[in-house]
Amino acid sequence: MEPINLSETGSIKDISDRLVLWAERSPKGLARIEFASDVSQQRVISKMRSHLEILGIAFHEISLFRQQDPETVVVKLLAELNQIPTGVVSITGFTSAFTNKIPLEESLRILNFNRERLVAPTLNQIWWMTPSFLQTSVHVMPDLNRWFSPRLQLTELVLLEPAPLASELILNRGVYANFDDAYRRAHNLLQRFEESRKAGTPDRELLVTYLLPALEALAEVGAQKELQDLTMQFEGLLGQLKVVNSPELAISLARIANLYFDQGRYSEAEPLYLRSLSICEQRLGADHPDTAGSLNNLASLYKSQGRYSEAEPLYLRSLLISERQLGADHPYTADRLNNLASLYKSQGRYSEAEPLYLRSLQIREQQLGADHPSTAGSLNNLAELYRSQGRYSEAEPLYLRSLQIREQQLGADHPSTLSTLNNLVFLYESQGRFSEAGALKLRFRQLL
Amino acid sequence: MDTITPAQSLEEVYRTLQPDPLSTPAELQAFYCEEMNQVRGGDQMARIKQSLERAHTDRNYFKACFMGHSGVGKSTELSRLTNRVKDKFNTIRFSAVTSLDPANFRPLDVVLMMMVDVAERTAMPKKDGGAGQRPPEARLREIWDWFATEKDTREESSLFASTIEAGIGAKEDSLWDKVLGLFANLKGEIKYASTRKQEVIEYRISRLKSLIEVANRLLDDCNDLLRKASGHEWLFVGEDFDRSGIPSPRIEDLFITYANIFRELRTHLIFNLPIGLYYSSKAPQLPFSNDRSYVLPDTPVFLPDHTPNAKGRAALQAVLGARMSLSLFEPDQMMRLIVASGGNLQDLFALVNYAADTASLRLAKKIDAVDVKAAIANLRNDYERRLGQSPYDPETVIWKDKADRLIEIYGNDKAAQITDAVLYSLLNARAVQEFNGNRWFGVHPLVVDILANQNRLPRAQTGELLGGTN
Repeated sequence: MEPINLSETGSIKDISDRLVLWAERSPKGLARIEFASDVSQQRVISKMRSHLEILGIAFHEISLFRQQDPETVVVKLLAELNQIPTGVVSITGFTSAFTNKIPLEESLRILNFNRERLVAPTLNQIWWMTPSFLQTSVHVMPDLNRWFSPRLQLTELVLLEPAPLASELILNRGVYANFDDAYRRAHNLLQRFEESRKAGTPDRELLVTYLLPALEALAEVGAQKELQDLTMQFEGLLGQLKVVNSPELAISLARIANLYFDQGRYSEAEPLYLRSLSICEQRLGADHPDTAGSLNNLASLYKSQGRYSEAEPLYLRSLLISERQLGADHPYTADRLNNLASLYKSQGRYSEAEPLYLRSLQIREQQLGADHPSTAGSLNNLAELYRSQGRYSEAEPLYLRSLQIREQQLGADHPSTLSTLNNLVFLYESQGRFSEAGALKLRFRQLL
Repeated sequence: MDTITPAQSLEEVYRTLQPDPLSTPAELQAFYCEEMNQVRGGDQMARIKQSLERAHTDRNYFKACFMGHSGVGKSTELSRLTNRVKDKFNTIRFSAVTSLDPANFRPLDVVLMMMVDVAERTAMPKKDGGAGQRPPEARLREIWDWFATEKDTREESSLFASTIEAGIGAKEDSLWDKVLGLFANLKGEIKYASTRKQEVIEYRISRLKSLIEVANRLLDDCNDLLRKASGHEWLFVGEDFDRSGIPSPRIEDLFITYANIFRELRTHLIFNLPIGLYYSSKAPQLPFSNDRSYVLPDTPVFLPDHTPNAKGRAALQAVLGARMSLSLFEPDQMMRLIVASGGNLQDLFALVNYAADTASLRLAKKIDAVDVKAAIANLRNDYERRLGQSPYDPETVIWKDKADRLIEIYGNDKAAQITDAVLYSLLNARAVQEFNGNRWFGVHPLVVDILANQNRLPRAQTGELLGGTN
């Protein structure tokens, strides 16, 4: 192993080296790593995994299920740990593992009481904790915390590979991402931005190293009203940078516009989307997939404002580029088909919407899988179309399939699951099946 | 703990500097340092041992509570005590978190747990720490009869009895067999108390007095049997009642509302209490007298005027010296870590381990100044987090109030030592430490650093920060 440069304490290399050293010398232990960047975390895992492979130490990963009651988290975690004979286990997902129906401190109390059982397996366990989760856990489970050795802080921030503009705009952003963590991450990046700007770092580097990752962090949590000031701050900072019309700038503009969009500030989003589109067209070309993404974003904004006639040509152009550049079966093409279908449905152009929804569903089933949440989205949308047309018997099996996938993949109380459940209630009521609708309503209320 | 000799290289340090309490005689022999007691108000275990032995001779019962902030070595001290009194006492240790349901236990569960443990342990062979004899038939009958009106419990116990092996012999159809079934049932019920029916709880509470009477007769029998077998008596040690997360009502129910349990039980017992309860206004209601309340304080690395505490530092150096070769530090570096630990052993071990790893990774043979700096920065991060609002604080305490109180304590303002929500929160966070058992409070050196970095405490013109890690 190469000697470390101590100026790199908290770096990806430092953390992975320490973990390998720890795993190499003892078959059992408990390490705690505080991290604020998923990308940095993945880099540590990847680096450590390859080192461990050379040393012949098995490496396993456990990703905790989301939104469980604390007893279930403990039982499932113990069951998984007990199935692993030896080696290092990286455990992620603590932030979203516990149901939000119980205060987090109550859940962690249960974890703390189970300290002895959790550390019993002969394994080296790495518990990854985000800053806000750690903050609570330090207070609520001090007994378990004291057993973490080493307790490390991963401070290196990695430039996130920005999601290309070609990707779908409206996802279920922010459903489980932790607001405090995202805010803290963005805030830290802005602090570093200021320090680096004073130190004379070139503007382009400031953009790609600090602003863009900070925007990505905020994008994870979506339309939080608390973010409004911070979002405006970004626009100001971006305006101060003397950067050429680069693709990174286009992405940054689109990210800020997305935040405005999520916050319902459509008029502020529009000029940023337009500028982003213009940069993409100039720098990447009219047929580039990122240009298609930009067109799609702007079209979605117009659709949300009811400006259907302005949205349609943009969606059509975006779809055409996707089909040509990415392929007729590409998942992004499925997204574009879905969006255009949704526009037609909003306009009551059901017969035009149906084939698009069907094609989108087919691509998603083939490319992403029959149980993928996006496939569930397509099923739900098609069912909605049929319900709007009064084709109730065709809608029901689609809703039921969508509901089943969403329950399994996203959880019973996920907003998308609840949305499908709600749609099914409307369907049953439309059919006069009031007792079935009543039962579902009761279930709906229990999940809220 | 694999290695019982001091680490001679940085690669071995992790073996001897583990945060687990010392428990076996070999570990205590190798690593325990008497010097620590000289700087933190004397050897509390020696006092307890003396009182226990007197109680043994005088045939009365020693009942005490034992407290201390986390990481000061309470479990190690209790292991040391049980080891030192083993010629007169057989110890039954049980934990609030592993034997009981920590969020839902009731006072009666503690009594039942003690009854189950003492009966089963007495029946064990002498070589395994028992008396080699079961409690008398009459007592077993009395226990069985106490549950006579609990039809469900008796039926479930019969099911247990048909599936378990008797503790000291083959499975048999006897009263002992039935009582063992009852015990197994009770242990499960106590461990998962949240599932218990409210009417069962209320019904049993209404019969607590009669249960204590049965328990006392059982304790008398078991102590007689043990005395006859080995000349020893039973000593109960109840641990982890200060574990974070145990709801205050559960603790207060046990130690305040039903404090008579501890007064009335005819046995020696030592229970571990939350230190916050001991410092609260409810302390006078505790069943343990002042001279039977023992606090294990931290080890001071500074004197009250913030000058170095040579004795405290020497004691901590002795602790390290028992576990690792001190030549593994570059000059002055060990002392920097000792100071940064604030005298807390778990923190000291965490610091040295981190520094040793840093040095190992740069292929060095000794811990140098940069390794130490990195270790201190890493632990300071934990302390910064602890200064935030804790969900266990009885009321919200803003940082400004905490900072103001820390500065007053740093300035040795005696009025600042009055226990209130702010001080309670700071003690829990270990930002404020208690040193000699005589209410000498100080601010942890890492917290002094944090205050100075926020310009709340001045540095000397030389840049030196009194009471901090510099």
